[in-house]
Amino acid sequence: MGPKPVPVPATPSDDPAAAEEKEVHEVYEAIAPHFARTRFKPWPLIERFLATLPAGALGLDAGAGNGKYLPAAAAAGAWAIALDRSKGLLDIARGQLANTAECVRGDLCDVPWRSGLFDFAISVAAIHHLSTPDRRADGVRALLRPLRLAPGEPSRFFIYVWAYEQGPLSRRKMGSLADANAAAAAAAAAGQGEGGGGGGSGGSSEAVAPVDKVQDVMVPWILAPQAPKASKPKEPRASRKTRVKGTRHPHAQAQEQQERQEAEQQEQQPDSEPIPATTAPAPEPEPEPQVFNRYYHLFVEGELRALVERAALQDGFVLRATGDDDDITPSPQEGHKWLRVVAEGWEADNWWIEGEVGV
Amino acid sequence: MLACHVRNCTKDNFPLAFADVELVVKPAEENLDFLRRFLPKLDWRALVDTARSLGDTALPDDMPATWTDEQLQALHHVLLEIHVEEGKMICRGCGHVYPIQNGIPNMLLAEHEISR
Repeated sequence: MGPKPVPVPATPSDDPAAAEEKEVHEVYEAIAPHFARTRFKPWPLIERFLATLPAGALGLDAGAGNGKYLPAAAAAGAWAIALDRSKGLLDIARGQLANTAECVRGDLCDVPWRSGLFDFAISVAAIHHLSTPDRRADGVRALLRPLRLAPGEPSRFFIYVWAYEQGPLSRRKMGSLADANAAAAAAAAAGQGEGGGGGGSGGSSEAVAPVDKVQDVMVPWILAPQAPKASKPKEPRASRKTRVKGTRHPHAQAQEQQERQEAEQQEQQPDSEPIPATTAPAPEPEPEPQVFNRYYHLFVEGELRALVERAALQDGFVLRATGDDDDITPSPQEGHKWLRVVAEGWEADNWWIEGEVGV
Repeated sequence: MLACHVRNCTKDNFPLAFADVELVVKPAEENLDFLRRFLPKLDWRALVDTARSLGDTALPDDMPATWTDEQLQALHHVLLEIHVEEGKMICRGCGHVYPIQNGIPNMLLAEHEISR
């Protein structure tokens, strides 16, 4: 049995934009249809955020992928525009809202919008694909810039990124879990026998400190061929023949359904799909699983907030304290734009932050 | 809603001019809340000119102070029902061309055009 692909540390690049093109954008183009089938269930916190928007609000979903949050925004009477770099994903996103979804192809760090356009902006699982601190700050600034700044009603934002601190239920086998395992292995090798394997709940892996935190990782995406599990390389010819050419893009509903379930599985356990990484060259080419590696920056506790605050300061926002209410404290200075973090947290192996901006 | 974002392009970068367009009209549910919120953000001149360039002349020269149902319907139609499926948008300032394919404007720039 071949090795299962697992997340591995990423090597820094001299040209981060070019690296992201290869390690993020090209991958998403290649896996777009499969990826989109795994992304249909909105994350509850985002859904809740969208549900609290005022009716008629216009917003930006930066790094929208297949646009799965567009219906959630619509359900709240709001309207979100999808921005993504992947044409393949946007073509799918466009099918949302009964084919009336507004989609724009663009970079996460660019601002192709008129200023003051949006009442809200969300970015879900996207900023972590930017590979340097500066670029991540660019991404946050690009999210904040088109927000409407007006006295009275603040504009709101919500950002979600993958966490370094992976909880005990995580299947991602990266971040704190990988490092804890490495630490345990190192400890065992050193004959110390200390350091349990599984890592703790979010943020509690400090106990196994000796290994450096690996926050920049390449995460495999396995693009499975249609035929499920049975495809061990050594299987007899006859069964191989039962695989029909052209089944990789099925349209039959039943198959679609099955694919969906498999894809969902993949989302939950990106590293443990039942696909052998075969090495033996088969005489007849059969659909091989393809492995694509995507770059991720895993955020540690406090990092997302620090990033947002840095981006805000770069763009001349005054930071207001959480809970700093209009009724109690006067606005920083008359006419000065401000940003306030409303809430933040760790949930299901991700860090999130919610905030608002105003003037 | 989109503006040219090429580096140093700061003049006449909005609105972008449509060219070679294929239009589709998709009926959309009226959303008064959206219109009410969107009105203060509108550059009326830009909207009227753009609508006319696409062949829709229903909007008046000046933004109405009080809206008739008919005018609201015309605005709704222009903003939410007319979709540019294919074509391009051209910056009147720097001439940059943004293609529109399958209803999706491509705002990606070459690395040297990006301003941050």
